Amino acid sequence: MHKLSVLIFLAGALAIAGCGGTSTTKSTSTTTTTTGSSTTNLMPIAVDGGPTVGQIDGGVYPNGAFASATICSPGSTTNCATVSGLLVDTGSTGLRVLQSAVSGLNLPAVNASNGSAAYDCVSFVDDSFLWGPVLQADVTLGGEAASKVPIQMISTSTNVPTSCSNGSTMNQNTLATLGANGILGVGAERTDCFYQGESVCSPTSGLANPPSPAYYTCSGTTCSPAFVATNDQVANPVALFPTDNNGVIVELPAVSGSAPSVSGSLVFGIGTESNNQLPSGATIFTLTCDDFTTTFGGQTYGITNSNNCAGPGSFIDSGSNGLYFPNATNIPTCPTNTAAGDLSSFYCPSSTDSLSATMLGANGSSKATAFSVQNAESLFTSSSTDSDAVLPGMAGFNPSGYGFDWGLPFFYGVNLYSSIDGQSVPSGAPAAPWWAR
Amino acid sequence: MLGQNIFWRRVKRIIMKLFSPLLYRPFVCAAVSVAVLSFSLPAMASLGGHADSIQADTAHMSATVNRTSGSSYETHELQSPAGTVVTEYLSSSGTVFAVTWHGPFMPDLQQILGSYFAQYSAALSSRPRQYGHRPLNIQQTGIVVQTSGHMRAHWGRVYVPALVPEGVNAEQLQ
Repeated sequence: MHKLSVLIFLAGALAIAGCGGTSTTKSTSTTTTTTGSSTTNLMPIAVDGGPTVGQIDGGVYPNGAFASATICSPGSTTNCATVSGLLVDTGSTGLRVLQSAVSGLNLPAVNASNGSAAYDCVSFVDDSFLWGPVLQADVTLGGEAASKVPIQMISTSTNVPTSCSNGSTMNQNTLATLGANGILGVGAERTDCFYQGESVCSPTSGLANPPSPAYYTCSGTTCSPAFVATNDQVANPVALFPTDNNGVIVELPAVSGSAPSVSGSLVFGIGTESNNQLPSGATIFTLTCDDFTTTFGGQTYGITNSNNCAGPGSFIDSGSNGLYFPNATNIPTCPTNTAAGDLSSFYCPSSTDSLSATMLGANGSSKATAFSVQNAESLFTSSSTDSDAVLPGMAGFNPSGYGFDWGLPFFYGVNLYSSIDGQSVPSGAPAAPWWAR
Repeated sequence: MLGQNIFWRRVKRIIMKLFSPLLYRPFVCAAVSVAVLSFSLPAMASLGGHADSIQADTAHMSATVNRTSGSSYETHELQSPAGTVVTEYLSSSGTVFAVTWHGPFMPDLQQILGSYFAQYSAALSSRPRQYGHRPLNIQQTGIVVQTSGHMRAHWGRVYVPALVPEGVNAEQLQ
């Protein structure tokens, strides 16, 4: 198998049993509970290829920012596990951890409104999914700790309701398929079921039936959609910190080109400490349906109807590992048959394409943004870059009309402030959610 | 919020009160909705199906429908109570040639893709396994699958190239 990165053709049967466990350490140390100090409201993150490096052949996860979390049974300082290799994702909400990465850790179940243990299903845009029980944990990120956080334990069980898998065979419940030991969703919402400012999985949503795929309860092997109270839904752990709980700043350094790795910080809180103040010249983009607007190549990608979130909109998402946008400027796409496999969803300009788009907030703000697109086939197959985790020129196709996905390459050299809907924001700033840079 | 659904929710609440003993399981609810909305729906579903299959999807989704006619096809926009909008494109020959969706929850694809569901699933399985989540663009002779979005904002488009009416650019369907 080619040694490189992204395009690892991982057969589903690839044996990875035990891989996740190697990154888990049973901890007997006490959790750090210091808050309010400007030196503890952050944690290191690294774009380093992730936990598959050295574990799985060719396993470099490109443009993924990874971090660690310490997870304890509520109130315990001994029933804990520290999990590294969590993908930092501003495009989703909630901490989701591979069961295989925390084997031996016992956490209490969280119940749905019907009194039975709740299960969560997350569908990703590529129709892969995560399935598993909702459990309660104390979560420590850097120097901040949140108590009794509902998290998702990504289950090794293959008993997944069809409305969750929905035709996909991509159950990403292993290190080999997820490429991470879990996902740390620190997006713009407080739980994973907020839509239009309302937690639509809650029994108080007014819906006659629980929406799906979202939460379930199971009887034997039969699982059915269920309502879950807002406070019991898989939560953004940052929103549950005692302080510094209104958002995050993703800080990654500028890069001049592809590189093996870079390190940065995930800073907690906006305008709450000396190290998280909004710069005076910052541009704030308020969001509609958690999206903003991008104009690019003569096209406009933004929400057109705030009542039903028609659009589609544009979004900044550290969990997307490239820039993905409709091909409005006719960039050549890559061949289907390369040494790295079918790359037809990626762009392959003959030389680096320097482009510009404009980001627009619902509040009228505007900022031009330059970006580069490099030949993905070359990035993934050239010996000079094929083991690099940092690929700022990695870009691909978003289907026609489907908006601009500003993935991790956008974050290099930009301190991205992402506020959380419903949380208080610094005086003078518009109501959350918004992004600022 | 979700203003468009308030009326429907009220209707549902009334239905719920009337039928509450029956509503413990979603399939029971779907059965009730079918019974309320129509008495003679075929079991077949949508992509590749006929207009009556749209009615079946409407009932399955507990959706309200907004129907518009163009020169070469009709659109049936199905709005589910939780906010997901499924649009089905019906050619003048009476066949659903494309379905699109957007909203906070993925629609039940087994329902709306009907006899094409297996082909859809096979198309998903055919793609190379790569780390990272990204939009899908699967172009096969028999079926095209395109998806995008993020948590609580799913976008998708599935069409059957052979069924697309002449002169219609399926890549522009929203």
